[in-house]
Amino acid sequence: MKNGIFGIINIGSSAIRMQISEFKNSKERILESIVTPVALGLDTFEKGYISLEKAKETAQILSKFAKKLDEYKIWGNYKAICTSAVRDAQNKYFFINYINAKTQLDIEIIEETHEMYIKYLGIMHDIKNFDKLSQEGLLLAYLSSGSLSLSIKAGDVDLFNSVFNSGSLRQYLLFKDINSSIRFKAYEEQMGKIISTLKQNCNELSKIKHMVGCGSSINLLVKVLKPKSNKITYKALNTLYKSIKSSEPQAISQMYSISLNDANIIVPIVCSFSYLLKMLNLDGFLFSNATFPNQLMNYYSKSFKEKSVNKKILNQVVAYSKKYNNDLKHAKKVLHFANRLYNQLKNIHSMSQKEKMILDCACVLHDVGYYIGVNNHHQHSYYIAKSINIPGIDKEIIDYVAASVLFHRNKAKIESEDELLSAPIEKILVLKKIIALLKIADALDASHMQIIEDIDIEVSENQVKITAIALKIPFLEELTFKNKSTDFLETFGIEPKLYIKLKHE
Amino acid sequence: MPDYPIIAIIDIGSNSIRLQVAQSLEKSYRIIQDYREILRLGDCVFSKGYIDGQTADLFYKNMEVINNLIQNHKATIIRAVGTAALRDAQNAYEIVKTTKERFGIDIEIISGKEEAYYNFLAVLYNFDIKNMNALTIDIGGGSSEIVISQKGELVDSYSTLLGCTRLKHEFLKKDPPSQSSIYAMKDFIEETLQNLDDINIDTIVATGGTLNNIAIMYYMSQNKKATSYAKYVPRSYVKSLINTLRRMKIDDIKKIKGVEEKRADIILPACMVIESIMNFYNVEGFYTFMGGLRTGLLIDTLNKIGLSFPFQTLDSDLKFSRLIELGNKFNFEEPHALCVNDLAKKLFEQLKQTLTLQDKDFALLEAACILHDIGTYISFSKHHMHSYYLITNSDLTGFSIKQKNMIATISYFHRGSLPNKSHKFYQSFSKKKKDKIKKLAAILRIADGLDRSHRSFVKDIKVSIEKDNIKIVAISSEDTFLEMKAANAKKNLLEKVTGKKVSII
Repeated sequence: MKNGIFGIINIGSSAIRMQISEFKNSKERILESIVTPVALGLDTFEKGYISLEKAKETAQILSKFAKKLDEYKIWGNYKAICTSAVRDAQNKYFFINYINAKTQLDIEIIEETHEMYIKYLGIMHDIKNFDKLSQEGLLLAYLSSGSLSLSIKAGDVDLFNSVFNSGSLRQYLLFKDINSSIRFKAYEEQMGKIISTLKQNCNELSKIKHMVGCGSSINLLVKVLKPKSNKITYKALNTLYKSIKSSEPQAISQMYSISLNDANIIVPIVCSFSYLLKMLNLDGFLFSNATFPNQLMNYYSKSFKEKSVNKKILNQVVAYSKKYNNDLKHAKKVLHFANRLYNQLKNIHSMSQKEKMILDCACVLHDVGYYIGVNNHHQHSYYIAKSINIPGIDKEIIDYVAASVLFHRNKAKIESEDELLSAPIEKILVLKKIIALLKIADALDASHMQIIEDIDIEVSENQVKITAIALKIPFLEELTFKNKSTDFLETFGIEPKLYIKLKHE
Repeated sequence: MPDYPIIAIIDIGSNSIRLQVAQSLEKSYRIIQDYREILRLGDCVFSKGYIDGQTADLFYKNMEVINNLIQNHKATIIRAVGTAALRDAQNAYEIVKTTKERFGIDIEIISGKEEAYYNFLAVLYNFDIKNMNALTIDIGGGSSEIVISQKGELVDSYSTLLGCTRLKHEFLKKDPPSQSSIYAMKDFIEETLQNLDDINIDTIVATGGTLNNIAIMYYMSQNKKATSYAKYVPRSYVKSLINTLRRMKIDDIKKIKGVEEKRADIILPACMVIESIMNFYNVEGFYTFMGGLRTGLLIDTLNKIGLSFPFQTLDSDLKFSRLIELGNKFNFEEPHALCVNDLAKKLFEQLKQTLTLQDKDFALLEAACILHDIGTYISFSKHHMHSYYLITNSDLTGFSIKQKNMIATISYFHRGSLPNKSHKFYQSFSKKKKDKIKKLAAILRIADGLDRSHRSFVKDIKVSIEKDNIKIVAISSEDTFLEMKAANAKKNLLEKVTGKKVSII
């Protein structure tokens, strides 16, 4: 990580926040932290768009923030990120363009899953024994003004990830015309719906032993409940809920000395967390009160590090593929062959670690499309791969993986797919290399029966000799190899030849 | 889940040998392996009268691959049947005996009538022919099996010698064929057909690999994607194809787009058989789908072990039970789907006059109600898009491809933005169809909104229609905050299509 000063601007649903930090020898010192309330979410969640008035107000605030960038001379060292209030606005592009014209700031909309990933990394660094909790089964609940993101982890994999449009502000706006004495019932119905979705999509809820909460809602909860440690108990939450659920916001505001805006959203916040705890049958949850700007800061300044990311991604993808009744024996065999090819042919293919990871994922996913239909399963596999939303796997990787699985069959030809024709030649080359290896690996287990146990690879001047050690004569494999190895020749300019050696001869 | 058996079906035909492995489920099955090799046993049998040594070797080699595949999938029930080629081969007994000795597989040689029955079962499973007079024909290499049914009941079945390989060997001995031989073949076909019942036929459903190949050629000639499961081919195309092929050499036929090389010589006879039938019954086209005999055998085998299909056991019609099967495959919330369907039915009945919809339009709405949420299986976010993909890529019994696409489009619009110019798949429909889609989607949106919490709280609906207003009263004994919110948020499309203000209370 570099030493230096970094700036983060976060345009949220109810406030715009800025943080400026100095990093020296991996230590962070926060120089400034500014919060200016502006309720963009009010516009987006109610009207669907951001009014010009709000855009103007935002531009004024951001002009001041921009001056800070001048002051610290960090125009080359900042990130400005917007979340759901802008992401969900119909006129988001106008908004971004408008802000840029008025302030010169380049602002980015962060994708939902990426946002979840950054928050996840933040929590991972903030909560003690995170790995252990996560191994034992953990629900991460990120509740902000705009959305409620839920992520369930057990062992090494994610069992569930989804973002619901049920942020505290959004819920309040949705039901604000219902009398405040019974409004809580609407919040309860809303949570009931989310919980039934969870139950429908994740049948291992009973495995979950812990819950961690995070997001802008936590600060408000802490302010009201004043917990002694970083744990909020179900008991405390429930007592609070009973006392506020039917109260007028004015009364809540006075009772807990919080603003009226906060008083409006505290009921859905308490309702959300207590419903989740009740579903999991837990006595409380741990929380991280690291703010999102703080997490962004650590992410973009690269002080977050996750170990063995590639391996984790592969595990996630394997778990994901199970839902589609993936033939894991076949997938793992193909993966094994692909690894052999990758390792033995390094001099020829010069592929990076990242490209290897794409190859790995493609090996796992190439046949998942069978679940949708036997005909054109490669297209279905493509569709399924394209729809992956696992925090931590970015879109570029998904695009490569999806394209690779699409082309694993001879039926699909790179030249004929419009989407890729426009891709730069370097990208196409990366893809061609991956596909060439994938097709050979797949051919070597064409019957899905693991007749070929292992392979040896020798490279000579004019051919790559692959010796397959087989349990019996692999008719289908030989045939398929013949058909599928042309990509290899066309990509690397050297012909792969298959020789069979029977194991028991 | 109880263990349902894995079933392997081997179909030894005159043209090809095929294996289909299926995982049986409670009320359906899922194909997990499809293997095919074009062996053309018929070539040998119909010219020599027996299966010669070389062909037999090839046959056993394929049986070995098939046997391996079966073992790999741990199939517990194996059913192998031989049709015309084995029926006619003098040495069939030897082949059956050797197969049993070498692989432990019993081959049943089935009669033409049995073949016709299995094929009919498959048609019944895939098409809604309960209200019509239908002719189903399976054109194989050695014979054609014909079934005539009235309102879903089998009335008569025939086994004829109109197999395309057989016809080729008997008549088309030269390349290109002599014109007199083509006339002789035509006479033979027409004479054979004179034995059929002369009744009014509404629909022809034809199966067999060669006919499917003709359908693919037709789709390609129209630049349509040939990916759909069931296809329709107009008679005019078959006529023009005959005129083209009758003067062509086989090597030139192979070059036509979509032609399977190994079938190039038998496409002409197949065309002439189906054209003669369309002529005989004065029908302007035929439907075709893949794997008639195999599907029928599978159903029959499942019946024999006591598993039956919804179309055989339930009173509700076939379409509906297939919809439920499809929903189950993608883990849908059945109570929600049924509740939405029920509410949509009530809305439809009370709104159909105002919307100028006909009773038969409800079938599309019903399918969309059952399937609108299946996309959540792929991912919760943007699930309406996923529902669209899954529906367009699944087999919907009894609906034409156009209707299936309409159902997918209606499901797409169950949430999110209203139909507009950017929805290309929507724009591809005619104005009349677009109109219908909008109206049906308008009803679906409200019905879905009225079960927002997925708890089936709304039990009844009363609609009153005035000059400028539509009032919808939802009757429930529970709190329905969510339902009211959601239905009101989704009434926009109904307001748009009726031009009236809609209020939901």
